[in-house]
Amino acid sequence: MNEIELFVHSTKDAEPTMVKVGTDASVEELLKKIYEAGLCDGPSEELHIFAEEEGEPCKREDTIEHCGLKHRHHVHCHKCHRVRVEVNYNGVEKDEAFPPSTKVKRVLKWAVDAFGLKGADAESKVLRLADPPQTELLGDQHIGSFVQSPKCELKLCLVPRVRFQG
Amino acid sequence: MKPNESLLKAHMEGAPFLAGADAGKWGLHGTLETVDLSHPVFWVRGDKRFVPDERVYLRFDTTGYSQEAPTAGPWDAAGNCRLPVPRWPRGDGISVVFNPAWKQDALYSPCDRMAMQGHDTWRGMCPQWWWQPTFTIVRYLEFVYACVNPAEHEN
Repeated sequence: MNEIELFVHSTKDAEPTMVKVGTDASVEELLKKIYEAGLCDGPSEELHIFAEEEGEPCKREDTIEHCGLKHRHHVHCHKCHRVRVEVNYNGVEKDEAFPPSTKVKRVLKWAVDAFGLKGADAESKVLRLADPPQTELLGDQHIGSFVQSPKCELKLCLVPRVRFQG
Repeated sequence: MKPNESLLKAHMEGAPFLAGADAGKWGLHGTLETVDLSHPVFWVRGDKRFVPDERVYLRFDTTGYSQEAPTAGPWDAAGNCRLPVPRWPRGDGISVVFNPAWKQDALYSPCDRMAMQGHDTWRGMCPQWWWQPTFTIVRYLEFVYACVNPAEHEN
């Protein structure tokens, strides 16, 4: 059995945590490991494991290897199958559903396209949480990290990047 | 090893730092065994429109880390000296952070020890970047990465 390290994202933290698992372990066993490490709130039968940027969760009975997960791949543990993301830009709202393992930069790309922004207008934008603390989301973070089940939705604002002057 | 050095080493062995390093976003110049962890040099990958060498090297001063914020200035890794000003990253918004007219050994950033002085208003503007003792070196590197890759989502 080969042991590999996976970067696990969850609602506990916007930054990943490292978990070691055997390649012949099942996704169920990985879930149990993640649950026991306190990275995801249970019950574990309600949790899904998504490979980063994948639309469907891994099947519980499959092995890590069969899921295509390799050393230092990123996965996301979440109760939601989809997250409805609502983005506000200049008072206009648009929404779309994403798997929780979607990177913020993909949602940002969708948002700037949805609002028809191009060139410098598109480049200078970031996504922030609509509610306090209005944290700026970073490109490689997972959208699911900012969503607390049972609500499978997230309200964001598309805003210019802060400039540090004065 | 001093407390600031052992804490920095532990943070560099953590998942957030390793994830960024694996993705090619940043790295340590040299090896953990040989570098001076009070003055380590890290590189950050940058959009070549703004960072002609595609990597900006930064020499840090980690005195008091992480109770105190680090501070860092652009570095010529090959010459082992400050980066000549003509080779500094530049571009809209970037030249505010990389501002040699302000200082050549610090970045104008809310997570840089030198720049934080006298800029308490930044705390409210951007709490996620305003340095806290619980932060790690990854926060500083993420700030620089976001700064020199303003269009990452467009690629």
